[in-house]
Amino acid sequence: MRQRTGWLSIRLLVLGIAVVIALPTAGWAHGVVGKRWFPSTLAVEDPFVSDELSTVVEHIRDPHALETEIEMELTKRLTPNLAIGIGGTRSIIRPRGGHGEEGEEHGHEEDTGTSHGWQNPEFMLRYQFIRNPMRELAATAAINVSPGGIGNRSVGRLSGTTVSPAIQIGKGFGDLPDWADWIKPVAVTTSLGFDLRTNRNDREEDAQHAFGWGVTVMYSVPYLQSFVKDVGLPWPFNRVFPIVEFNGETLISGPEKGSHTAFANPGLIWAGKYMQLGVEAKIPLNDTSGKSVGILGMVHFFLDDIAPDIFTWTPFHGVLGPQTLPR
Amino acid sequence: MAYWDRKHYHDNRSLARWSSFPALVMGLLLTTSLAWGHAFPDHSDPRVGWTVDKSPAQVRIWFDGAIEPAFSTIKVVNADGQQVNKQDGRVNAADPTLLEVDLPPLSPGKYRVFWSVVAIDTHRTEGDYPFTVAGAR
Ligand SMILES: [Cu+2]
Repeated sequence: MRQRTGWLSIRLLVLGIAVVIALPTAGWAHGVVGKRWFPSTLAVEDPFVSDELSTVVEHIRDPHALETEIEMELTKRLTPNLAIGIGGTRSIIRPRGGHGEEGEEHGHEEDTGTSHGWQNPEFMLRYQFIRNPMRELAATAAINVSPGGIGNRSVGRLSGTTVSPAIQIGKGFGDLPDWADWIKPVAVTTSLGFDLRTNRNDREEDAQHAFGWGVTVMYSVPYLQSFVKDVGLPWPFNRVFPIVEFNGETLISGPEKGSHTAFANPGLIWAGKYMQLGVEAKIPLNDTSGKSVGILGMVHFFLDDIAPDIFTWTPFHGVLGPQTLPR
Repeated sequence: MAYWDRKHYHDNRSLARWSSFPALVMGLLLTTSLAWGHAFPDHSDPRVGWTVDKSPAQVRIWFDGAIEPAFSTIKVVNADGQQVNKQDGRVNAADPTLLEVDLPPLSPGKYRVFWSVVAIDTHRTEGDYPFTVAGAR
């Protein structure tokens, strides 16, 4: 019951933020630097602040269970360069084998043994400190705080609080010379950060600090067709970004210090005007990371574009100016 | 991810309760009548990166949304960086997604179109693209 009460207060907080967001106006551009538009990526944090609602679903099979995680994140800018956010992850864990329950699997496997629950919530503060149009360069510093002990024990939420400082950098290659025309649509992003965990009693492994990294390499078909060469791809193919994301984590303290996980996530992102979709395979790159290939899916809404009069609101009137131009 | 209790804990009710939040957000989005955004180029004439046989009378760029005439610009420069377009760059009166400019007869060579548009929600997008006028042979 204590956990439920915790979630009730989180939900009230979300509702409060939603109410604050649902007030008047002013705006900038998300993910745009010069000619370059960077999509939001699935496994690696992107180098922008924005007004966005993102849902990423991850499904993997490990030796003990089928795990599905539904991660929702709402971010809201307070100024063109500063944003706050809140995130929640729903875990659904269905044990497979190893429990002496195999015999019953055909009968009622839907219910038996499946755990649903929330991980600890996450609160984010993000500041974009570089936006260089000529170099198609962007960088954001972020700090996430995930208070411990709020989520559900059934899905293994951490009892300690995690504080995660991180930095994200994005670079497009549109500034290459003309002989490299076909490489201009390429962009890379990276995210580097730490998960610093407070040790609150019970399990030692909860307090392991970690270094997390991510690198993405993507090819922008919209960039190719708009700025380099119109190769004649029709909708919806003209809005596709083939991408490979690499991400990993190295434990830097605790009993498993030095162990690292790493994944390659090849896939496609499709970006429309108001939303983007993404799907990637999640391929473990070493034994610690698992044995089977998982899948990642994303649905992402550009709130400022969908409802500019609502989601481009800022408490700092006069800094951003009026949202809608006089007509 | 790897840490989870073997205890089988059913928590479907809170799932049902939480799921009303995305429903609320979705409802909010769907009932919002104003749907604006950045304007990105959809296609253009001459086509991006193509070679045309004879000098085009105009450069036209179609965007995926309406653009603001007062804040949208277009210019065409030759290989030496000199502006060659006529001074009549405009948003088409009948089609608010079309940015166009007239050209005098162009000699063979490489040209580059520079454009900058502001969507009606103030989101600015800009870019440039090359095209070539084929030599007379
Ligand atoms: Cu936008």
